[in-house]
Amino acid sequence: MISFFGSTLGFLAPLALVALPAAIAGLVYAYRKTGRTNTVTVGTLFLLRALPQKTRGRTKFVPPARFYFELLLLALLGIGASGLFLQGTGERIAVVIDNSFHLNARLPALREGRSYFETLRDDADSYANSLGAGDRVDLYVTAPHFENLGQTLSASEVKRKLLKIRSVFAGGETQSGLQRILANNLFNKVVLFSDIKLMESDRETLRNKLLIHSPRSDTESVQNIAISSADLLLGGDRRVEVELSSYAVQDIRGKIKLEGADEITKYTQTPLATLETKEVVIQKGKTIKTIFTGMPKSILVFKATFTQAAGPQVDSILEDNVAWIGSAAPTNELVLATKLTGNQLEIGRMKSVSFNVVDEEGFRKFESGDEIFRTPLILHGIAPQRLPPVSTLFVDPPLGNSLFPIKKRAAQSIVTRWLSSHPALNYLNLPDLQMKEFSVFEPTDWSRDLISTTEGVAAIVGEKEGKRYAVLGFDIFPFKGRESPTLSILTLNLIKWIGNESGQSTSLEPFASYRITSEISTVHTIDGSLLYDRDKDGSKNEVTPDSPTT
Amino acid sequence: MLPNSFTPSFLKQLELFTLRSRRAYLGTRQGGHLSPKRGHGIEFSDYRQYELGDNPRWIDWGVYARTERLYVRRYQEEENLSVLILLDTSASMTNPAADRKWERAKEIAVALGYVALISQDTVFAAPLGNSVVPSYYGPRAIHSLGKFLHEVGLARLQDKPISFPQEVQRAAARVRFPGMSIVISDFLMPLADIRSAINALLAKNLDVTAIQILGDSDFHPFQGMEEFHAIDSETGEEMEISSSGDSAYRYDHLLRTHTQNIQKYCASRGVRFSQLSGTEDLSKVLLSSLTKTGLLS
Repeated sequence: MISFFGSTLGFLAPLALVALPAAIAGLVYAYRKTGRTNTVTVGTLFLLRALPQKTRGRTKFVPPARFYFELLLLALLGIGASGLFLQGTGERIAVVIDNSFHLNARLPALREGRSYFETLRDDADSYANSLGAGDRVDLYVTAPHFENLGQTLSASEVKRKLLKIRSVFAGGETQSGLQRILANNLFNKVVLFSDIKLMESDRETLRNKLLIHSPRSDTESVQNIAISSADLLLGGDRRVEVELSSYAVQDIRGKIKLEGADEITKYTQTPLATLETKEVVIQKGKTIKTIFTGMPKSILVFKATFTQAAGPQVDSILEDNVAWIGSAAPTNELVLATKLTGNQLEIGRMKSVSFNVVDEEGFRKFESGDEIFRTPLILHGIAPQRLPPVSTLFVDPPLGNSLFPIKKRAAQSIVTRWLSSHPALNYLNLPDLQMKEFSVFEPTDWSRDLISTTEGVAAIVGEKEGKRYAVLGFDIFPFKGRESPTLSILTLNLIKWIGNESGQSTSLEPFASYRITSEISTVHTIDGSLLYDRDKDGSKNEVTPDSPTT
Repeated sequence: MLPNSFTPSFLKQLELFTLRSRRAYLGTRQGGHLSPKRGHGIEFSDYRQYELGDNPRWIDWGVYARTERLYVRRYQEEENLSVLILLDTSASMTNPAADRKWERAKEIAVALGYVALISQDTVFAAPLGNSVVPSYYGPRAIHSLGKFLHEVGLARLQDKPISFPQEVQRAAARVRFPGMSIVISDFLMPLADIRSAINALLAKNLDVTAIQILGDSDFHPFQGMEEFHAIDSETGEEMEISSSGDSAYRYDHLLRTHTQNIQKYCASRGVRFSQLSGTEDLSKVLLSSLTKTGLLS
């Protein structure tokens, strides 16, 4: 910070100023070097040649006017790069919007049925209106990752960006993100729009800087009923187990409807037939399992829906009342759609998997509904118009495809983060992954980031309506086996994953029930209260959080 | 195509001038210059005894009354003159363009050509390096002369470098009738070349006038630069020029010495010499500089 005519000037990246003297020295050098030798076409050298030539000595540096202009430009560039800002007239503020999924909760009786997230966004909009003209805002969202949406934004820019923020189906990184931006000491104030409850110690530390706007009062409790898991169990008796969890403060009566379809391989929507409906009563804070037995073998996909019985509706999040279960048995057969041949992709090296290779035209027939593929699909360098109705591995979809928005093509990047719990990454040491060139994906509302790099997300996975989808921004073919172990293991893992039965979540989702492994001894909620302690209650092996902020 | 400076009033001004040759030359047709021929002009020459066949009207009866002998009056013939205008088309005449040396050379050539054409003289235009030396006669030919110098001269300027003495010799070789010769150049070349060129013209019995045109950059090549990379416009030769404190003075001295040497040589060979600037006013050039040398009157 420097003082300038009563105002305080600050630099966002003061290190950039260090480069300025070097750049000026370079400019002077360039002028000294080239300025001396202005090229002039003369009529004749006849008389000039006769002049005695002196040995060149140190000459006085008299640059032309253009030099001073370029010097000014360079100085402005350096100051610009260093992020000069006027401290005296405004503040640098970080606005953090919690867009994690639980804020989708809405209480019918309150706020005209608007969700907490909508309320929170309105609050943020009102806050933007109250900003001073000189205030500059850095805008962050917390989900699916803590991310900066813009730096030094004006109030109007903040309002514009707020309209584009959506609540995503993921938990947020609010706590860690806050710690990060508070640590670099860049902001005069950090304004958090969230219902997060900070731990007492943090609250004390951040008291001077952090301002929390919560859309929810302490007295309000959010009640929710969610299908926490839904599984199809094969064997002699095919049965569907639907697990329902309560985060309500009262017992809830309702029904679970199980629907099924025997044909889901076409894009045309197959009407679901109701298979069975069961009345359930779920006690407050409990998890119940409902089993539907004797499911016909012809049914390929199931849809379980919980509906609360008539009366005051207490379920604040309806999105988690539906679960899809796919019935496809693990398969070793796949359809590979590619512009190349099987030999070129060296798929013959994969002894455990058999491929039905089709060209792009063959895939387009499938897409138009002329052909039916029942087995999982690998699309190599081909992007469909819509998500295929079978589990699919997308390998290196082309730039400009509408299904997976690609930010850019990147090269020579370092893997920085990966979804280690995902089965696709079993046995892998991701830092060994070498990607010469790859696409960086924009986040989608149904997927999670599988592999992230310094350039951005290089692979995503997700499940939708009972089908599994994995999208790789880089090419895994030709399959090199032992010669390229990381890529080979990843390929086999992904083939195994999309070939297996879907419907079981492989990651932690909001409002889901989590089985506690024996290694975990205690679980705290964010506000610091002890939720589970193995030492005190050794028999308890399941956590049913009472708050969506948990 | 006359240069823009050739306004009607300027042309009227030119019509008042005449080219002055210091010697009498035989002409091809009647004109305004005294010829060595004795004939029937208006300038009395001398008497001779009447011979059979002489026109009795030429008998001077006054002399007969005093001497009782028949004499006839003889008059000096007035004939036209051949005027050869040689224009230096080397690249140094156009570089740098701001000096306007080539434009000034062309203007002077056309102006002198017009003065000659008005006097019924025959003008031969010879841009150096050009294979054709066309002749012009009569005042109306001034437009053709102007167009030729503009077009052919320009083409020659963009052509390969020329050897000044060789090209002058080549042009002189085409002269059939001796007369006046006007060489317009910057003469920024070795004195030996200039001598060789002038000697070639004198050998053809021509009355030679040398007009040197220099630009500002010829007088002040440094123009505030301490050091510069100079490229010779004629040869493409490159040279690093560094200016010390007295370089400008030394250059000025070199230029003056060179000009003086040309002047001395011209004086010794009976050649008129005049030094003009490319940016000087044209009327002033013609009125003061060229009349002082005796080329125009």
